[in-house]
Amino acid sequence: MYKQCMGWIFAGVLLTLAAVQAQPGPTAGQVLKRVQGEFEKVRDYSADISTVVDVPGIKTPPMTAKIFFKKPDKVHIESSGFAMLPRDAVTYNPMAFNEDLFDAVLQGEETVNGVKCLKVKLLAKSDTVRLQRAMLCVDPARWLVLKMTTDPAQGGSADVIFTYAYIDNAYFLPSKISLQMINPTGFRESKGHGMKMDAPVAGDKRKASVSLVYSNHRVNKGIPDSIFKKDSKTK
Amino acid sequence: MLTLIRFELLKTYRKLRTYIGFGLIAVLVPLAYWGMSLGGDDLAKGMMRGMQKDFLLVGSLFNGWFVSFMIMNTLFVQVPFLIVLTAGDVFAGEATGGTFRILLTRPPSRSRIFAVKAISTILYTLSLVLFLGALSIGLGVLIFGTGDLISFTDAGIAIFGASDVPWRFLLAYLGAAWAMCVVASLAMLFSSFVENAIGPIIGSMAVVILFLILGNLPFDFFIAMRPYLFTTYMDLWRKMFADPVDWTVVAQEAAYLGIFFTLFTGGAWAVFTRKDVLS
Repeated sequence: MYKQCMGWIFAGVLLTLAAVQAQPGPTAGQVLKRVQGEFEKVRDYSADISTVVDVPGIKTPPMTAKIFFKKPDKVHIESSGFAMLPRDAVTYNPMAFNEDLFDAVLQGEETVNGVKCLKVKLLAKSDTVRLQRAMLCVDPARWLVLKMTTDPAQGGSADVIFTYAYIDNAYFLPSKISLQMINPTGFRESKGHGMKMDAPVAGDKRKASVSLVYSNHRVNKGIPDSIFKKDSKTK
Repeated sequence: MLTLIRFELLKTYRKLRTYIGFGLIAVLVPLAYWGMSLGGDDLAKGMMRGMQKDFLLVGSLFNGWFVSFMIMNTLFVQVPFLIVLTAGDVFAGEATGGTFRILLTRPPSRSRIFAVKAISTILYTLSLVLFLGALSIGLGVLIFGTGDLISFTDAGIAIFGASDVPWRFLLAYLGAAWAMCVVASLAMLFSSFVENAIGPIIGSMAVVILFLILGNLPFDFFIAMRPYLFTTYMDLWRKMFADPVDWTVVAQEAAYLGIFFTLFTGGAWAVFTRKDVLS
C-alpha cells in the first residue's frame, strides 16, 4: 500500500514537471500586449516634470515642465521657462509598440535593479519610424518596462531606466526616468573657435545623462483637447 | 577740480559730435529689435537645432535677455568707434579750435587740465556704455519680456535661468565699460600728439581693428602675440556669461586692461605735459 502511494505521488510529480516543461513561455507579442494592457487603463494623465540635464558641452539649470497625455497618443508639454527633454523617454508610450510598426522577438532575460526581466527586441518594419531598434526589459510580475535601450534613426542611442509610482492604487506611471545617451547631438567643444554642431566624431563616445522626475500625477481626470492645440510642444 | 570737470563736461556735451554715438545707438538698437522681432525666434531656435534630434525643446529662448545679448555681441566692434569720436577730440579738438594756448595760460597746471580732460572722457565713455545697456536691456525686456538666456562660450552652450541673468548683464556692462575706457585712453594718447581730431579717431579705430584681426589669426606667431594686445581682453564682458564664471580669469583680464589703461593714459599725460603748444 505504501509503495503504491509513493508510486502515485512520484507519477504525479513527474506529470506536473512535464506539464510545467511543456507550458510555453509568453511570446514577444504577448509580452507587449500585457505591457500595453497595463497602460490601457490610463485614458489621460498630467504630471509635473523636473529635469536635470548633463550633456557634454551644454550647461543648463534644472528645468521644469508639465506634461499632458491623452489617448491614443496626444502629448503636450509646456514650461514657464525653457526645458529640454529627451525625446524618446519623455514621450514614452508603450501603446506605440504595436505590431504594425515593429517586429518583436524575445531575447532571453536581464536583471534590472534586482528584477529579472524579459527582454523584447523591437525592429521597425519601416525606415520612416523614428525608433528603428529598441530593446525592452519587461518586469513579468507587473508588466512594466523597466529598461529601454533605443537606437533611433536620427540622434544618439540611449539607455533609459524607468521607475514607477503606483498612482491612485490603480495605475503604474513613471515617477523617474534616468537616461544615458551616447554622444547626443554631436556637439563638440572647440576651444577658442566657438561651438561646432557637427556630426558625431568616430570614437567620440561621450555620454550624456538626463534625469526626469515626475510628480503630481493626475490620472483619468479628463484633459480637454484644447490643451493639445496650444502653441507649445505638442505631438 | 569739480568745477573744472563740470566745465569740461559742458564743453564735451555741447558738441554735436558727442551725440553721434548716442544717436546711432538710439537708432540702431530699436532697428535691430524690430528686425529680431521678425526673425529672432528662428535664430534662437537655430542655435539649438543640433539638439532637436534627441531632445524636445519646450518654451522659447527668444526674450529680452537674448536680444540684449545679441546686441552686445553685435556692437562689440562698433562701440569703440563711437568712443573714439569724442575721446580722439579731447586734446586735438583744443588745438583745432585754437583754444589750447588760452587754456594753458590759466592757473590750473597742465597735469590738472589733463586729469580733468581724462576724467570727462571716461565719464563720456561710461555714459555711452550705460546708455547702450539701459536702452538695449530696457527696450529688450519691455518688448520681448524676460526668460532663460542661451549663451555660447568656448566650453559650449550655457543656458541660464531667468533669475541668474540680471547680475551677469550688470557685470558684463561693467566689464565692457572698463574695456571701452582703455579704447578711450588710446584715443586720448593719439589725440595728445596731433592737432587735428581726425587722425586720433581713425588711428585709434585702425589700431583696434588691426589688433582684433591679429588676435584672431590662427598662426603661432600671432597666437604668441595675443597676450600683448589689449583687444584680447576687450571681451571681458563675455566671461560673465560662462558657467561657472572663472573669476581668476576675470580678475586677470581686468588687471591687464588696467595696465593698458595706465600705459595709454600715462603716455598721453607725458606727451601733454611736455608738449610745445604752438596753436
